[in-house]
Amino acid sequence: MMLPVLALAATPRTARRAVAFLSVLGLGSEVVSWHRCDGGVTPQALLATTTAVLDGLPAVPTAVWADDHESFRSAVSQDLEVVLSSHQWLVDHGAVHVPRAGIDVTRWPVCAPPERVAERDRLGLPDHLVVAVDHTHATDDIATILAVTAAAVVTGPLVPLALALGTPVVTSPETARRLGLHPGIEVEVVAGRQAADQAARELAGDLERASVLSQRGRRFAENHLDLSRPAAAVACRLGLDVGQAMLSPRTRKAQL
Amino acid sequence: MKLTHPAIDLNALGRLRQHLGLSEPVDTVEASSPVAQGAATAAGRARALARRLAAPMVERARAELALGAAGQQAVLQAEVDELRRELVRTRTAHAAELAVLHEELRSR
Repeated sequence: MMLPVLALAATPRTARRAVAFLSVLGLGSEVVSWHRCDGGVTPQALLATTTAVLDGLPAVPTAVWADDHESFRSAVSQDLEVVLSSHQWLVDHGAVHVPRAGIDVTRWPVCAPPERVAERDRLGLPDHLVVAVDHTHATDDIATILAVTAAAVVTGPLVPLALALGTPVVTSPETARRLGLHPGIEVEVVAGRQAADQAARELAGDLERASVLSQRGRRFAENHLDLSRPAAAVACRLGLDVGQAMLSPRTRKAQL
Repeated sequence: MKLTHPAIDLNALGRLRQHLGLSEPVDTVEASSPVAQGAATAAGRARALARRLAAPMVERARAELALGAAGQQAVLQAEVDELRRELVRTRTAHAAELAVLHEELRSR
C-alpha cells in the first residue's frame, strides 16, 4: 500500500520544534524532508516550521507554525490550510494549538497509584519506591520507572510523560512555571533537591494525596499537553489519514 | 498472561531490580505447584475402571483447555496488533527525526 507523503520544510533553527508533532501527524504517512524530495516526489501535504520557508513550496495542503502576528498574517494571506501555534492569542484567532512541550498522551494509559501498589507488590519492588528523573529523553527504563514508582521528583522535558502516566510528581518552580502547572493542584512544587526528595517520600506514603495528584496530572496532560488531538485535526484539514486506530489508548498484555 | 502497563518493560525492570539490589520475584504459582509424578503401575482392570470414572472429568478438562487456548489466542493476537502499532509509531518517530536532521543540515 502506498502511503501519502508528508514533507517537512524547515529552517535549521526551527526544524527541531517539529519532531514530536510530526511523529504523531505522520502516522499513516511517509514522512520525509522537503529538502530531500525537492524535484522528485511531490508530497501530498507539507508541514512548515516557519513562514520563512513557504516561498518555492509546491501548492499542496500546508500547515505552518506562526509565532507572532506578522507570521500569522503572512500565513493567512497565503490561504494556507492550517496555522499552528503554541500561543493562546493566536489560537484565539484561528490557529490550531500545538503545545510546545506536547506529548502523544493516548500512547500512555494512566497507571493510578493503587494499580502501582499492586504492580510493585507483584514485581517485588519496594512499597514506597521514589525516584528522581531529570533526563532529557524518554527511554524504556525511564517509562517503566515512571509507571511503577510511588512518587517521583521530575524536572525538565520528561514531566509531560510523568503526568500522562499518572505519576505523582514533585517538580521545581521553573518546570511548573514553564508548563503552566499549578503548585499543589497537579504537582507538588518544591525548590531544592533535598526538599524535593523529602516531599516525594511524603507523597509516596500518602496514597490518597498521590491518587489526587495522579488524576489531576493526567487530566492536565490530556487538556494541555496532548498532541494527538491537534494532529488529528490538522491531518483532517491536510487530507491525511493519521490512522484513528493509532490514536486509541492501547493495552498490551505481557507475561512478567 | 497477566495484564501489564505498556510503559512497563521487562528488561528495564530487571535493570531497576539490579540497581536496587533486589532478587527476581518468586512466581508463587509455579513454586507451589506440585511436581508431576510418574504413572503408578496397576492392574489393567483397575486402570479401565479409573479411566471410565475419570472420563467426564477428562472431557471437562479438555473443554476448559480448548476455551483457555481460544482466550490465549485472542490475547496473543491483541499483543501482535499492539506490537504492530508500536512499530508504526517507532518508524514514524524515526522518520520525523531524520526529516528534521536533513532540514537542519541542509544549509551546511
